[in-house]
This record gives sequence, C-alpha cells and structure tokens, in this order.
Amino acid sequence: MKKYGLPLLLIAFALFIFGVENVHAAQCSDQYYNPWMTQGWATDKVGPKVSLKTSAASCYGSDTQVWFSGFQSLPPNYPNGSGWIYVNLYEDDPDGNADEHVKEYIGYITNRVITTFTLNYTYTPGIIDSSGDQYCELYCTFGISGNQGQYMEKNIFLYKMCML
Amino acid sequence: MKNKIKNISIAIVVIAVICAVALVGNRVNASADENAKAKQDNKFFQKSVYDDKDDGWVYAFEIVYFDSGDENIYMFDGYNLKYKELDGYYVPIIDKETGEIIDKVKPNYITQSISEAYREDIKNIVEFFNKKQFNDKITVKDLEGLEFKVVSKEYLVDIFNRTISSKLMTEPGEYFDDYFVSRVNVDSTDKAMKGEWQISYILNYGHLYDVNIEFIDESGRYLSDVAKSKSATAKDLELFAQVEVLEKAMVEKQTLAIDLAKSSIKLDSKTGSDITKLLNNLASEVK
Repeated sequence: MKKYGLPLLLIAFALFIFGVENVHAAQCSDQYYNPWMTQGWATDKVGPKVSLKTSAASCYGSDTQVWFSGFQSLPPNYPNGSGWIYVNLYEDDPDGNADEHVKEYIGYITNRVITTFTLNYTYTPGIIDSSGDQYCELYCTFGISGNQGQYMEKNIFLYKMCML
Repeated sequence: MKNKIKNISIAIVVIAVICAVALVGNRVNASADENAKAKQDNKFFQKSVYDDKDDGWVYAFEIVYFDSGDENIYMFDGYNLKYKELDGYYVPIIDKETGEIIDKVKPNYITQSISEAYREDIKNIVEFFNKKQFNDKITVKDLEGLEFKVVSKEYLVDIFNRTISSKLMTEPGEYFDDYFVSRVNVDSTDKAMKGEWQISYILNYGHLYDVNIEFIDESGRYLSDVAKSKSATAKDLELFAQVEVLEKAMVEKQTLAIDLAKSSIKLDSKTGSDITKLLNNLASEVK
C-alpha cells in the first residue's frame, strides 16, 4: 500500500486541480481596443460581438467578466480634470427581443489618465440567454464624458469579454 | 376692383411678414449654430507650468480656458518618465458591490494619480481647484480644508501662482491629438547589451515638453543611474551622452520622429538599429 501511496496521492491531487481548473476555466474573446467613443452621455458605440460558451448549464450574467488592460492616457485635446468612461456589457438577442443589459463598468479619469475601473452594477445576474443554451453572444457599448457631440478616437484601453 | 386691390395688398403684407419672420429666424438659428459649432470645436487655451524633479518626475499644473466661456478646468499631477513600472502604481479594477480589487493593471503611464499612496490626494486637489475656480494668485490660507501629502501646501500654492501668471498658450502643438503621456519599449537585439530600450514623453498643450530615453539592462538597472554611478564605463558615459543629445534634439525640433542616419548622433550600428526601431514603434503609436 505504501508503494502506491504517493503515486495515488499525486494522481488524486492532479485530478483535483484539473477538476478545479475545469470548473473555473473561462472562455474569453480576443482582446479588443475600445472603438471610438462619443463624448457626452451617449453610450452607443458598439464593439464586436462574440459567442462564448459557459461551463454552466445556461449562461448567467454573474458568470460574465470584462477584463481591462493596456491603458493609455487621453490626448491634450481632451481637457478634463475628471471624467468617466462607460462600458456596458450586453447579451445579444434575436431581432425583436431586447438585448439583456448584463453589467456596467465605469472607468474614472483624472488629469487625462484612467485611474480606476469599477464594476459598477450587475443588471442581470441570472440567465441571460435561453435556458439550457450554453452559448451566449456578448458585446459591449462605450461612451465617454466630455464635450457633447465630439468624439474620442484614440485607443485608450484594451478589453476582453469572458464567460465562466 | 377695390376688393381685388385689397386682396393683393393683404397678400403682399402676409408675404412680407412671412419673409421677415424667416429672416429673423435664420439669423437666430445661425447664431445658435455658430455657438454650437464653437462648443463642438471645443476651442480652448491653456496656461501651464511644468517642474522637473528628481528621478524622472515632472509635476505639472494646467489651467484650461474655454472660448465658449465655460468654467475653467484645473489639473495637477506628477508624471514619471523614467521608470517602466513602480511598486504601488497601478490602475485598480474594483467590484463596487464588495469593494474588492479584482485586478491591478500596470498602465502605459506612471502618475501620482494612480499611486496607492497619493491617488486620493490628487483627486481631492483637482476637485478642490475645479470647485474654487481661482482666477488670481492664492496663499496657503486659500487651501483651507484641503489636506494632502503628495507635495507641500507651499509648493502647490507656488506652482499654481506661477501657472496663473504664465503666458496663455493659444496655438496647440503638433501632438494635440496624441497621447498626453506615453511610453514604448523594445528589446535590445545586441547580445552584448541584454535588456530593453524605453522612450517616454509628455506633452504640454500638444507641444513636446520632455522626452526620456532609457536603457534598462537585464538586472533592471537604468542607464541614467549607471551613468551617475562610480562603476560607469567610458562606453556607458558616451552612450548616455548621445542619448541626451537625441532627447534634446527631439524636444528642440518638436518631433518624435528623428532619422538617426541623418543626425549627428553617434551610436554603434546595433544600438542605432534598436533605437530606430524604438522611434518607429513610438511613431506608429502616436499617429
């Protein structure tokens, strides 16, 4: 028994780790730059739509994630002591049905640099697609505070959407 | 006949009134359009003071004045052009509901507004000045109610007063639409010099204020530190001197795109090639 003890223990440990990793493995989109954004309150600029598979029986809003990286500063033509970037995550529904508003993220700007990003609210933590459908189609919309009607055309940050 | 004349007269009066209303309306709309366009163009002017501090730090105070007459905007922060990253400087991704920091992201800039120690100070200073809208020199007494550690109150008053007394800038520079502060890194291809090259810059109203080029060796030592150390070799000193010539040339010529081959800067072929790649990568990022 002692002879098989360590290998069995190692196998059990490997299975445990594999199991844990499998349960929590997320499927993620590619990284995208923000699209150019409308300044003011509109959050109508839309990023690419991706189909992601959940490891759960159905797609839940609470299992979605948006990860941010690659922050750049804003240009001198954006003179704001403080500002906000809005990123809203949606699940796409067929035409005729309203898309599910899943989550809202807010990036806070001080002196033309993003200083914090916040998961501000989860609108739909529950099922966001048909029950039993493990594939959900996610996309984000974007907006930035500032001079209404003007645009922010620079690549300010990267983001990717994930589904647990 | 009388009725006919009467009808014609009435018609003329009605047409005249319609035309008059249309003309006045057009002038009002044109005026409103011009105002909207002025705001849309977001034309603004700026006063600013930039102070060079030790170890790659630049402190800047900016006051933005809008052509449209909107409230001024006041900005104050510290920017580091030397380091690739510093402990305690990151952008947190926070779950608002739980307060948990989900992630800490190292951005392409190092500012006091993203430091663990001073982010709240900078935020409070900016909010305070934007609320007060000071239009003249101030004293420390005017900062009553504002507490911070990032700089001394005397220094903040001093840099603000120098800013408000400075010349108004009305012509933006060539880089007005580019990243206000940024950094690019490329790996060295010289096997005898393992590490990476780095270039950082900061703008002032779209004009290049400062450029900093560093070589970071595989041990994490910065060229500017090596050059000041007792162990600096003649090669280190020469390289540092040439890099300084390049930095100054970029600011003097107000360009991030310098053709090394056409300049007087003397670098060996591998270093020259790496720095050319660094400058090309920066150029593709800004334009």
